[in-house]
Amino acid sequence: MPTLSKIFVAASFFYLLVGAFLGVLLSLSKVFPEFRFLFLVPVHIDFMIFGWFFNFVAGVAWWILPRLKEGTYRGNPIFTAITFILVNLGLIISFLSTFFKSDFLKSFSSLRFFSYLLFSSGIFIFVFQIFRRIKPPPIISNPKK
Amino acid sequence: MPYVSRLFVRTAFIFLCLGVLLSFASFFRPNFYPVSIHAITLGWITNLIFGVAFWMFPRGKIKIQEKDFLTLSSFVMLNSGLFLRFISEPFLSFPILKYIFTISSFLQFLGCLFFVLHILRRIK
Repeated sequence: MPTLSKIFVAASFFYLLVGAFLGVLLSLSKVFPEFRFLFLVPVHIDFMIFGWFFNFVAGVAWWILPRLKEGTYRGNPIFTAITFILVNLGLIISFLSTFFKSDFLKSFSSLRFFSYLLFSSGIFIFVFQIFRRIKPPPIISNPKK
Repeated sequence: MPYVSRLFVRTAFIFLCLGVLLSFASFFRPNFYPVSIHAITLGWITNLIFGVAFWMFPRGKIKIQEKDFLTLSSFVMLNSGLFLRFISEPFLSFPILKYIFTISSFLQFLGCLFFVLHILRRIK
């Protein structure tokens, strides 16, 4: 498994655990009014969708999809690393946005908007990068002929 | 495909069907909506990922048993947690079900934790 995939997959399992833990806090808040964690619902959703599903799928896709140039080259790793940084920075900002309302981006109401800009740009870069690798397998000539 | 993977993948597709049915139900009873979302995200996608990851991730020199204890525990906890969630979350007005719902969320968390403990050794 290439290093970038390892980083994506390890991060995805981290977000799965944190997201599931937030789920426990939310279920407690839903049942017992003394727990006040319902404001974490958007972070729970972001962590599970972008943190868990996207990071996992991106890591495995980078590892397993057919390679370019006769099976040696996966594409430019810098773009994939940028995807990782953008999406995970977005997740951190999404988490922080629940605690701090932004003065800097008042017109966008909160930092959450900024985190979605980061998610979308990271995801667009990844899709652009991985699209070339969705192709049929190379034709291997039969050595017996 | 190993035994645990078959369990995860079969259960994933059962939850997919359940999730679709619950989505229909949520049109008539909105309190089914959160359950239908969790049936799709945890029941279908997460079970499917766990099953395929257990099957496909590199093993290296680690000897992995067909019925790995951590992974089987993860399967039991995740899916029993989901089952308890289904019978409790839409009917939270009953006091006893509040406790069952809380237990269900802990079981789902533990299910994820046990799987992560197994798979972390194989990210290489």
